[in-house]
Amino acid sequence: MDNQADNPIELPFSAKYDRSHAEQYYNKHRDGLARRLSNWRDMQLARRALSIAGDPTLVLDLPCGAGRFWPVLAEHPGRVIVAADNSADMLEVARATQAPEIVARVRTMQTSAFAIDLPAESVDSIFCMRLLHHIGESENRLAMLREFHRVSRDSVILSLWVDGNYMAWKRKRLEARRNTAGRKSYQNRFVLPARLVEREFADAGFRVAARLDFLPLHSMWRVYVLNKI
Amino acid sequence: MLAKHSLQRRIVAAFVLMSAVVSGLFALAMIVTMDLTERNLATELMQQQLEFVLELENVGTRLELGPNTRYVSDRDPAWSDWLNGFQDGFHDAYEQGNEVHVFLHTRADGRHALLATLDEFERREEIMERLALVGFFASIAVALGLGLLIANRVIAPVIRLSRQVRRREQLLSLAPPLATDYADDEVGRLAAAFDEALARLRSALDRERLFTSDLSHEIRTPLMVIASSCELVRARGTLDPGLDRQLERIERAVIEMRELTDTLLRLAREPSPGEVVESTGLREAAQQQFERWQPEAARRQLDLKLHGEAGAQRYPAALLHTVMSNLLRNALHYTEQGFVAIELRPEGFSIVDSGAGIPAHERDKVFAPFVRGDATRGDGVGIGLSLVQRICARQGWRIELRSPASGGCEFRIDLGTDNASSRNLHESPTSV
Repeated sequence: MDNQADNPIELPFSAKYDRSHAEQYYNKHRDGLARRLSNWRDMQLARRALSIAGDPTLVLDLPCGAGRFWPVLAEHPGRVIVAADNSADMLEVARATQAPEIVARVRTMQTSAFAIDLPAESVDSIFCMRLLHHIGESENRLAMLREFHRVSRDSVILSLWVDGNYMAWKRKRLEARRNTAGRKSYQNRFVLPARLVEREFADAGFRVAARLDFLPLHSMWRVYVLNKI
Repeated sequence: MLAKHSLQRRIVAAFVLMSAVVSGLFALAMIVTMDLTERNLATELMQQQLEFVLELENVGTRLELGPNTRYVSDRDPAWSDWLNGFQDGFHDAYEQGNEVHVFLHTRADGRHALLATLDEFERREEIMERLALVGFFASIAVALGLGLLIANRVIAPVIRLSRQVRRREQLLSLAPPLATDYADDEVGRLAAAFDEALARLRSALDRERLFTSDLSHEIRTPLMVIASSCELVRARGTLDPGLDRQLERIERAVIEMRELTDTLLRLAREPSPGEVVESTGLREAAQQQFERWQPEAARRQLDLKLHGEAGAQRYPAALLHTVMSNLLRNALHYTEQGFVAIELRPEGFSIVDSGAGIPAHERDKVFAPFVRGDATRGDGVGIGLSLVQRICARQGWRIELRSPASGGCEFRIDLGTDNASSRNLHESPTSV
């Protein structure tokens, strides 16, 4: 038997999302003014991206995490939301913490982003926030993008860390200093060169429809809207 | 209507054209009105001036006119001959390249003329004309911008709808209806029409799937009866040796039919949860098929060969067997002499034969259902290759028909390494 489905790609970062971590995750985006502001900006970008993607009516939120984007996704009254995460704990926390009227509109499923348990072209759009920056290997990213290409009918919205901005430069400098100090730290988040990742999008069969920066030239977060070619 | 341009471009063009016509007419009217007014005013003014000048002349004084106006009569030496060419009244004329207004009057004592050079006036007129021109182009630019904006607004729902309908062949029942997302206008009705058509398509597909699976189920039982009866007959041993061969043929046909119905069943429905689908290696399957078709090849005096090395990957057994056996049956059927070979590769296999080959123009049709090669050869309804193609499409295997230089043809199957094939081995339902 093909071992791909037996052993789908498992990355170490995904092991940390147990129950307590999941709850922390939910709270993380709720305290402090700066957090609230950044959360607001995240939602704004998500809204813009969804609108550019043509207001898809059947969206797969993968990974949905604590359901942070469900309220934005549910703003469209006719939208069917399928939320998926690799961690069952996460899904449980999401269902428990989000408002009941929103939870009622969301169908949840546990699946890996590398082998989504859905037939080909079964959703209008895949909404993938804050996952790609955890994936350091180009090969793994391509595997995931190809899987997205299979499952999505029209578009993919994803966010990641890109270079070419102040924060990326600062991070690089910090890392260089750490490395010279001899303290090799475990990294589970990666800044990707925008040109490289855009070539990967093209390789997986996507066209970039929009690039939305969290704070242009300053922040590393960028949201991409991709259309299937 | 044959629309060569996009809807958006046509809307913009209509906007620009309309504004060009309107503002063009406007500018033209402005220039004509200005011209007429100028003429009327100048005529009146110059007539009065000339009358005044002549009156003063009568009393013996000559009036000092302004720097731009002068008076001449045909008795003066200053009289220019070109003035003779004009009749009495007001005229626009050119004197040494400059525009002048001329007013002529004939009296008993000769002809009198008042000439006014128009430097100042002309400058203003020029400014007005330029303004009209600028206004014309500005209004076209505004129309272009406005047209683009409005066209985008108007067409946005159409574009969105077309994106939503694109690649909707999956027809997932989960997808919400399209029409609820649009206003109840032309686009909304279009969306509703799509919904209806898609729903009909979906139900037709469901019916087809049900029909195929029911039929396959129903056929299984009589097949079992035939197979067990054959066994029984053979066990009794009451057959005369001549009928033994017939019995063998019946048994072979039953096996083939069972495989066919199994395959159809598999294609018709998604595997149920937890169902373990039998899997096989490529080498194993090829060996089995090789042994199975060996007698048939021998009967046709063809050389059946098996070579090459396969990879260790495993595939759904029934589907792989169906693909191989259909291709082999096809190759044996259409090959007069020579060989049929199964060539294994790590990621797939080829069935090569030394037959007549397939003419280029028929190659595309080969995979269509119920299309057969040379019709005189009979046997089968031509469902084999179309089935092969359906299986390949479903499993994500790539099939290609080639014509080797040595003649004959080669069906090349790439099983690939992607997980589409393994997905179907243990597809689990979603909680969706």
